[in-house]
Amino acid sequence: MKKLVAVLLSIVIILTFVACNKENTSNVDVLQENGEKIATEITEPVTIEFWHAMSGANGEALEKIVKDFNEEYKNVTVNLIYQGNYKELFEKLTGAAKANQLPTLTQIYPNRLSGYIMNDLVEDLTPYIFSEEVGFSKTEFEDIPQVFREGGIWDDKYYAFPFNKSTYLLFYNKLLLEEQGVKPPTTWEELREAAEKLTIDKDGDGKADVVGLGLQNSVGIDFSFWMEQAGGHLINEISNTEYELLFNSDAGVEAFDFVSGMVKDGVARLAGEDKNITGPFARGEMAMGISSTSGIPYIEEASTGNIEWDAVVLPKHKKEAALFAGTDVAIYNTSTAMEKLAAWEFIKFFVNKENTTYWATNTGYLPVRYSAINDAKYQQFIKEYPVKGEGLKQLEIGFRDPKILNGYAIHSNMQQALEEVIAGEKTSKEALEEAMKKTKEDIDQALQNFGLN
Amino acid sequence: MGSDKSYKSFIRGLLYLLPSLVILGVFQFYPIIKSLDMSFYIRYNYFKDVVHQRGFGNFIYIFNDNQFRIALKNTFIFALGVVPASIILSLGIAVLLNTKIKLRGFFRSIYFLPFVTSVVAISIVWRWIYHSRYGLLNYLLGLVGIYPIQWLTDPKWAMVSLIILSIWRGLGYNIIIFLAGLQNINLQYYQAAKIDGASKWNRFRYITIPQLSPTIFFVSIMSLINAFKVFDEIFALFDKRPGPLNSCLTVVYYIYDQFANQYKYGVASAAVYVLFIIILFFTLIQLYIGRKKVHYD
Repeated sequence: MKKLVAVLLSIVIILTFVACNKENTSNVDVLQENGEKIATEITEPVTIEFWHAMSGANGEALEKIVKDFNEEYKNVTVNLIYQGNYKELFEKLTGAAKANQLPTLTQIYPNRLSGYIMNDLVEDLTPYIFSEEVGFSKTEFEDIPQVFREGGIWDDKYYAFPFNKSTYLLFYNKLLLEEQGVKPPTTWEELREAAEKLTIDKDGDGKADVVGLGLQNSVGIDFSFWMEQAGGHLINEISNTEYELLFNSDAGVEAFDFVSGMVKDGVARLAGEDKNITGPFARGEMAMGISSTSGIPYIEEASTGNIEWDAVVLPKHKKEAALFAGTDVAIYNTSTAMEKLAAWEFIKFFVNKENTTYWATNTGYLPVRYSAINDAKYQQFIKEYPVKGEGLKQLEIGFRDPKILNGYAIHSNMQQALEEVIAGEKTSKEALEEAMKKTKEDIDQALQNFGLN
Repeated sequence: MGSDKSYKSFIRGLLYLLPSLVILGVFQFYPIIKSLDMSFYIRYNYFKDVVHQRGFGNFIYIFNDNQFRIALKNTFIFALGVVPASIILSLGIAVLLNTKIKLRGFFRSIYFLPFVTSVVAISIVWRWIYHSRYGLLNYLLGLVGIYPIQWLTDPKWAMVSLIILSIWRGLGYNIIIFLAGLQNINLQYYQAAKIDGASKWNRFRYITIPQLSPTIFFVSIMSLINAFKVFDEIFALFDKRPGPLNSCLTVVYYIYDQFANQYKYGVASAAVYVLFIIILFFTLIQLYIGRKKVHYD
């Protein structure tokens, strides 16, 4: 009898839940239909949630900007909510989408945003950007570097705006390079040569005490810039659901052979158990290292009193190419017109000259306005911290990672493939071929399983 | 008349049960039923809760997925590595703690600490212990002349590292359960055995083990289920990755990856049910053995 009651009760509960779900989905539809015209004036007090994943110095800088915004815009309160690291943030967004509890504003990667765009959950920012009342002027908009602007485009519409942008640089230990008479490399050949010269066995025990080049554990995940430099591409994205994977190319094999070759020959190593290269680089166990600019504050902290270092643009091969990583911000259209406008005002505030300068000087991220970059104040800052200027030299050769749904699979399978090649289990060609096959399966299965193709 | 009374008491009983029924219903029964249903959704918009198509596709997909096979294999290796060793070790320690040794309470707390400490904190410490150049473990091994081991970066050793960490972490909980079981054994058995001249080993073998068998049985079932569900330790120890070369990719990690990162909601649910059936199968085997070997007095 008790069992029967339990079953009956759970059925009732399930039915209630199902009913709730149905109601909520219909609400979303109504909002979308009404959301076509954008609000241009905030007429009543609004409070919006901004979900983010910025901690430490980054989090403090963000808090300061939000505080300033809340003081300046009397009618708007931006409620900053830290949701853990990126992966945790994205998980919470998935749950929130399901429960129809999405925040107004969030930090997000393009390949994670695609799923929401394909479900019509993201506000098209185009009307805001080009609005006469609340938008940007043409010059103002073009003040934002193209690589950042284009990163936010899906189907010729702007859905995301640059937020915390970083790029990859070659960091080096000044003293070690000087001792060996090595200049910071500018090409792959020079990189290999430098790595060989800088791999030093001080005590003659047959094991290198200094390894020439340090690579992040995620070298396979962030492999696209090696690929681009070798003249290849990861993917050709035709539309949200049509794509062509390209990593099993001659360029891909060359890049894989080059990177894995250095590791196998012992002139480069992954951070491995050290989690990232900051520690070993700052201890002088790696003469050079390739890392995102977002790591600058940590490298600075760890190396104080240990080593002197600097950074230069990435070495080039067949062409120059630099990956611009970091997240964008997007507005969910599940909010009211007033909330969406408030979020837009915050985005504008965040990327204004003054704030983007503040953000770039206090974190490892880059300013996203030419006017801010060229301003005397920032130029002076670059003179004092040259490394903060290096990344900006790459703006014109910059590109972004794929936007496709489950683009995660590309990076994850590339990582797996590179690990296999380094371990000597497969040749570059075999590993890339298998990775490409698996990635195609993963992406197609995601599109199908998610009911989007 | 009689039926009226039992009806009333039934209603009253139901009211008492209601809070826990609601909680169980929402957090246990609903997810169980929903994920079973979801495992058959082959085209399913998770955000909008629209099912476009149902079928067995997800099950076919996972059995053709090499990663899932690796995950199954790793999970079995992990369970085999952790469960027996953990039970033997914790039983041994529990027996020692049950004797009148000095600082007994202190040791009990020490062993229980890992169980209540956050996995993240534990993994930070263990990442250092396992560090090939600066780690404690390799230092100790170096003293006896063993060449440094790449605990975390060598795919051959990564699983061993995970198993060691998991045994250490689960020890405290098992010890507490065993201690409770040991204290329930009537001391008269031991006294009688001593009079008969039974050796220490014989007393352990013929009194402790049979008397403790329901506890051992319980611990073995719980340990096995927990071993099949391992996830946190991997996530923290290998920095959100499934170990070098997928060497620590387990079924739950696979489920997490498919669900949280790869939008394959149906596939993840199907994997959940495959795991459920595996656990059910082993629990049934244990129950069968248990019925024959366990003494309830």
